Amino acid sequence: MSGSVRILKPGLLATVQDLGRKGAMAWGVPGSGAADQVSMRIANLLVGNEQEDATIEFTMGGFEVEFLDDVLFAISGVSGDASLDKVPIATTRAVYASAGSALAMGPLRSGARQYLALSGGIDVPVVLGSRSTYLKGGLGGYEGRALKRGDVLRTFPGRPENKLGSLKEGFHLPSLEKDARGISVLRVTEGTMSGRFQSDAIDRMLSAVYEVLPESDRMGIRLAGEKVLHKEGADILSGGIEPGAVQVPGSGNPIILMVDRQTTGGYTKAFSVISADRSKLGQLRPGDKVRFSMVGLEEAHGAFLGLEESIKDSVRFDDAGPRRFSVKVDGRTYAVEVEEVL
Amino acid sequence: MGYDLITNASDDSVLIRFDERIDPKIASKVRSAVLSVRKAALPWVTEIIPSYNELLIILDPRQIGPTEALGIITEVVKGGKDSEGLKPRLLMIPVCYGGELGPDMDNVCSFTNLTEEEVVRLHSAPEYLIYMIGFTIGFPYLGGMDPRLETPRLEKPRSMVPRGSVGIGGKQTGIYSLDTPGGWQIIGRSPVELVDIRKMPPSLLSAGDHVKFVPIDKERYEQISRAVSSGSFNLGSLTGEERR
Repeated sequence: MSGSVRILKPGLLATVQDLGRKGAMAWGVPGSGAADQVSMRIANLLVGNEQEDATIEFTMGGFEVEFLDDVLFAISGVSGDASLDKVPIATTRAVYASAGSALAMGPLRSGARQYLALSGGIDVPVVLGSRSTYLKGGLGGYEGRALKRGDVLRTFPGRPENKLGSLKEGFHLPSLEKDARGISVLRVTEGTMSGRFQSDAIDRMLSAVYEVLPESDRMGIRLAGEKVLHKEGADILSGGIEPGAVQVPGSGNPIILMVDRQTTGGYTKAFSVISADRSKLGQLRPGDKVRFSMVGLEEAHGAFLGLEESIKDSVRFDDAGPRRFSVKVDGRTYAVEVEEVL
Repeated sequence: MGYDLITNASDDSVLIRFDERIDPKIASKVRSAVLSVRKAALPWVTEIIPSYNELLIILDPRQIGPTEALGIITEVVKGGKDSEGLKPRLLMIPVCYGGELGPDMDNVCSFTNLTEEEVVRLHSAPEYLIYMIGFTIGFPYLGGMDPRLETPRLEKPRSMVPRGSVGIGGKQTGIYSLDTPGGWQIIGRSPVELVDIRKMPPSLLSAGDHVKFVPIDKERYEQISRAVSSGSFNLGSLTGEERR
């Protein structure tokens, strides 16, 4: 059965996102997709979806939705103060909601993004191979725009089996990891333009702690801290921007480019955040502390493969917990809990 | 092949870099590398992004590691010849110059000391090379503008430039593919839609193509506009091909 959900409060920014567009960057089309794809994929796994199914990306919490049908859902990303019909619920696990119930999320105290996956995945049209919203281009997602109060989103029919996903014991979302001092550590590999910077500039970046600025968005994380000095200016001939690129414009303040980045740019780049650590970018909020750590290419690739394995093995399914249905009898609606007995 | 550098740009991309200059000879090398990589049809290549003097290739790290990818792409590019498969398309883009569709024509005339007729003649004479598509969906970076047309950008950029607008910004000229903010001097507008997101690729123009602007009057502009909005405009007529 397919479900539907109505947005009551979108929070700071809510958009439909999947894993993004591929194959059209040569024509200026950005990848887009979830800013924290690890959390987004796990939200899907928890409700028995395919990892690439479309979800709703919420920013900084403070959202509220109403389920218009009985639906299995999960929230992944930062845990927050979530409640279903005012009863507190756990996040990062699948939950049944009956038609008419409301899910509310308090403001986030740390991190930046949460993903709401609904069984079956969000049903919006595919544009250039993806359901992701690209706001600046006004395409994809729900009418190419951010979600507003009153929008109703439908899902594809979900899987019929009654299985509730939750995180395996000891598994923590890697995109939320920080070091002992509370700093997000981003591993990077060597860039292709080191010669454009002053001789010790890259080393100084690697030993500095940067702070995330409020101007950060899905295009890029803007940083303040140790200024990066160029040899002869920051401008280059425009060229393709590699994934994870840390760009340094003339101001000397680095920008870590993200999912909605332009496909080409004309500023020097210091190095690139490794693929395994890019989902962490989606959880950085203004004021967060960040540092860079240089690794080799093969180590970076190993970290990616390790992350992929751990995602596959992150969720366990409990058979048939109590399941809530709403039942109409003589025009009145009753909430009924059904549990399998042995 | 004559590249300056071939290297991993991240754990999931490979970069080929040529001499850093805007030059049709360099563009031809970039294009030849694009064609070699495309022809190899490597299943793990997800993006091939050409620019003035670089080619960035993005990979799917699920399928291949950085060292192996660099080795294979190096071989693929080595095999390609500079002139191989170079049959660039020439697109004839109709433009209505001046008037309300080209509100900055007077600025350009007074800065360049040319008459409107001269500006139109000089601007519509060359076959411009598209070095790359970037900035936004379908936006072409063109090379080959007559230096006599160089005019500085507007001091105050417009918050919205209608798509199809043709402008001059310093040494560059181009055509806005989408409604976006912009600071170029707008001298005319084309009724042709450069972007159709229902198609793959979504852009009429590609890097390596050539563009020639064909002056049309207001009446012809309106005629083509109507055909474009009713869906009866034949894009094949721009390349001389009959495509349906």
